[in-house]
Amino acid sequence: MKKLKYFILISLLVSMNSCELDNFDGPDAIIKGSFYDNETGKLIEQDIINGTKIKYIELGWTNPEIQQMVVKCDGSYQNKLMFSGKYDFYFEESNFIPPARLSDYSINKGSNTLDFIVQPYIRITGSVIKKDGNYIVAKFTVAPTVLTNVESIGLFAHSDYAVGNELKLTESKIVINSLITGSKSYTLQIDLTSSDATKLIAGKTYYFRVGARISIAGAKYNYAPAVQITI
Amino acid sequence: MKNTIKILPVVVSVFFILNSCSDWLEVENKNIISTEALLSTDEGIEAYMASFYHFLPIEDFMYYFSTGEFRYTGNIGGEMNASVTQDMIHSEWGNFDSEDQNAHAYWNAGYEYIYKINKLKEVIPTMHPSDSTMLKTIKGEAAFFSAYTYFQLAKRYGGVSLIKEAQAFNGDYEAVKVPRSTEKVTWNYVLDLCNEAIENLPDENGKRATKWAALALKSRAMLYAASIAKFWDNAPLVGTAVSYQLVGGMSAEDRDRYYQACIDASAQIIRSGKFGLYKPNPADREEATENYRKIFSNPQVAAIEVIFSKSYNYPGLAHSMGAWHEPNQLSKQYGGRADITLDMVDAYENIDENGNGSFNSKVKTRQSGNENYNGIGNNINDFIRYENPLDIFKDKDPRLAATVILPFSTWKGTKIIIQGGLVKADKSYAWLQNEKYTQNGVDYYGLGAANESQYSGWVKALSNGTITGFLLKKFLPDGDDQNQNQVTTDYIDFRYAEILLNYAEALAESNLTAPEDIIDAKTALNMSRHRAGFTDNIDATPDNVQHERRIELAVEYTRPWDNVRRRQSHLQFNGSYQRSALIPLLDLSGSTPAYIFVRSILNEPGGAKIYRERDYYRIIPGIASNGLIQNPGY
Repeated sequence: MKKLKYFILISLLVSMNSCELDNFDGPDAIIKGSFYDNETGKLIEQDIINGTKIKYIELGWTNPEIQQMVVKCDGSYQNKLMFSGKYDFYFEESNFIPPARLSDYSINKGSNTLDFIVQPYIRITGSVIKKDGNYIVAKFTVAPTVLTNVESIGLFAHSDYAVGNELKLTESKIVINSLITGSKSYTLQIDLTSSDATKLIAGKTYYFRVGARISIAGAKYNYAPAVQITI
Repeated sequence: MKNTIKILPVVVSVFFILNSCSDWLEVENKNIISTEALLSTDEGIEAYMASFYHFLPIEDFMYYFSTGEFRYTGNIGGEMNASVTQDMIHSEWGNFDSEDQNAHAYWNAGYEYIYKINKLKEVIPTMHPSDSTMLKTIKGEAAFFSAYTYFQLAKRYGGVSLIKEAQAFNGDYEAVKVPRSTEKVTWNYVLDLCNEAIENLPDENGKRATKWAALALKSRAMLYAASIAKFWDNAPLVGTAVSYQLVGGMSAEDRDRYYQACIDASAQIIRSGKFGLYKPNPADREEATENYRKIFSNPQVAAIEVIFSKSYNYPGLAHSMGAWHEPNQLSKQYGGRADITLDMVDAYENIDENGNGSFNSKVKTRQSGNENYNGIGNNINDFIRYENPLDIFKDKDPRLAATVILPFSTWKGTKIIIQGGLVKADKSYAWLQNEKYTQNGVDYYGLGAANESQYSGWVKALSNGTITGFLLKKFLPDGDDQNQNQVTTDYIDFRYAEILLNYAEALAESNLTAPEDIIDAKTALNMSRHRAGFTDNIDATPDNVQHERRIELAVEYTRPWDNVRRRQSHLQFNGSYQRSALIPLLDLSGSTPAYIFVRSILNEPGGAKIYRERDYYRIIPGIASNGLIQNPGY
C-alpha cells in the first residue's frame, strides 16, 4: 500500500510537470494571393492535386526544411498558418514560366498578400463544351507562349469542380508532341456510350474542363474554366 | 584468523589487478567460433557465404513491394509485384506502388547489406580454403552481390552513394557521409562490378552464382540503364537532384553504350550453348501449354532454361506462393488473391491451326463485334452464346492456359466454377449474386452452386474469389502448396527466355547490329513464341518485343520494372484507367443452357490508380541526418 502511494505520487509529479508549454509561439501570419496572366490579367487555372507548387524556405535557421503550398483550381492560394519572418519563394513545378526566385521576402504578422504575375505556358481560349447527342464535344484553341512542343491536350470529366488531368472519371486525350506556332483549334469528344464513359451516369451533373500541357520538365496542365453539364 | 579474513579479499583483488594486464587469463571462448577458425575451413567459409545468399535482394515470392522488404514472412496477403501492373489485380487490397512512400523502400537494408559485403571483401585474404581457386570464386561472388545490390538501389533511387569499402566509425559522422554519385556513374559502377564478377566466377558453381548468372545480371541491368537513358524524357523531373544529374542526365552515347553492354552479355550466354528453352518444339498446343506450365510449377525439370534460381527449405526459409492463390474450391483457408485481368487475357495472341499468330486478339463476346463497352446495358441479345464455355479461349496462345486458370477449366482434378450470374428465360438476369433460379425442375445458382465452397468467383468469405473471372496458375506447384511459409517451389531469377528477349529489345531499340556469329534479334524474339506453338515469325519491332515480353514473362516479378524503366507506368495508371473483368453468365434463355461473357470495368479497391512521375525515383530516408540531396518532388 505504501509502495502504491509512492507510485501514484511519482506518476502525478511526472505527469503534472510534462504539460508545460513550449517556448515557441504559434503561427501568427496569413499569406494569400493569386497567379495572374501577365498579358490578359486573368487568373491562371490550376490542378489542385499535384499541380503548381509554391516552394518556400524560412530563413534564419540552419538546415531549414523546404516547404510547399498548393494552389486552388481558380489560381488563388492561401495559407493561414504561417510564421512571420523572412522567406525565399521559388517554383519547380508550375504551369507558367517560373519567375525568378523571390529572396528575403518579409512576411509580417497578420495578413499578407503576395500575387504572382507570370506567363502561362499555354493560353486556352474560346473553350466551348456542349452535350451533343451521345457525345460531350469540346472546342477550344491552344496558344503556347513558348517555342516548345505541346505534349498533350485533353478533355476531362469528373463530378467535382476540381476536374482535370489529376482528377477525372474519364478523359479524351490526344498526345501531340509537336510544335504549335501561334495557335491551333482542336475538337475533343467523349463518347458517352464507350466502356470508359459508362462511369458517368445519365441524368447526373458533371464538370468538364479542357487543358493542354507543354513538354517541359515539371510543367503542369493549363486549363480553361470548368463547365457543368447534365448528361 | 580475523585478520586473515579481512585481508584475504584485498590480497585476492591485488592479485587479479596485477595479473589483469597479462594474457594468461585470456581463454578462447569455446561457444563462439572465431573469425579465423571459421575462415580456415571449407565448411566455415561455405556457412559464411550462405548468409550472403540469404540476404541477396532477389525480388522473389517473398518480396513485398508495399514495404520493400525481402524474405517477408509476415502477412503478405498474396500481393505480388504484378498486382501493380495492368495484368493482374489483387482480389481485396488496393495496394499500389505509387503515392506510397514505403513502397520498394530498400535504402537502409541495402546499405546494411553493402556493409557486410565490404567486410567480406576485407577478409578474403585471410581465408584458407583447401582449394585456393575458391578465393577467386569468392571474389567474384562479392562483386556479384555488390552489383546485384547497387542495381536494386539504382532502380529505386537513381544515383546513389557508392561505398566501396567497409567504413570505420570513430564517432565523427561527417567522416562517414558519402554524397550521391550521378546516375550515370552509378550505372557505370554496376557495369564494372558485373564485369568483375564475370571475370572471377566459374562456369559451374552448384546453386551459387556462376559466370552465367553474372552475365544475366549484366544483361538485365544494362537494359535497364539504357532504357532510362532513352526514355527519361518521357517523364522528365525538375529539382536539385536533376541539376546535379543525380537522376537522369544520360546522353545518347551512354544509351548506346549500355545497350551494347546488354547485347554483349546476352550474346555471350547465347553463344555458350549451355542454355536453351525448355522443350522448344512442342508437338501440339496441349503439349506447349504443359511444357510452359512445368517451367514454373517445378523449375528443376526445366534446368536447361534456368540460369540462376533460388531454392527454399521447410523447415527453414520457405514461401507462401500457393497459400494465397489456389481457387476457393480447393483452398484450405485463403485463396484467389491474384486475379489476372481481362486486359491481359485480351493481349494473348490468337493462333490458327497452322500456328500463325494474330494480334487482333480480344476475346469475342458480342455478335456485333463491338468489344468497347462496360456491362450488359441493354444489349443482352447481342452476346455470343458459347455452349462450351472454354470455346471463347480456344484460339488463344497456348501459354494463356498455362498462366491462367480459365473459368470452367479443370485444375488439380476439379472443375473450377467461375460464374458471375445467370440469364433467365425472360432475359432478366442475376448479376454477381447467388440467386437461385429453377427451370424445368432444375435448380440453377447465379454463382454456379448452392454452397460457396463449390465455386471460385465473387466469393464473399475472406475475399477468396476472383473478381476478374480469372485466377493465377503460373508458379503454382502440383500437389499441396497451401501452408503459409512452408512452400518450397524454386523461384527462377534469371531464365534463358528473358535473356533472348533482352537481346532482342536492345537491338530493336537501338541502331546497333547483332554479332555475326549468333542469331539475330528476330530469331531471338520468335524462339519463345515457337516454344509456345507458333510457327510464324514476327518482326523485331519495339512494340512486338514488348508484346512478347508481356506474354512470355507474364506476371513475373520483373514486369512492373519494365514499365518503370520504359517510363510508361504513368501513362498506364493515369487516374481514369481501371482494370477489367470478364464475367461469365449462365444463359438459360435459349433452348439449351449456354454461357455468355460480359466485359466489366472493375471498381478498384482504393479507386483508380495514379502513378506519379516522381515515383520513378523513390524517396531517400534520413535526409536531415545523412545530408544527401533528396530525389525530385519529395
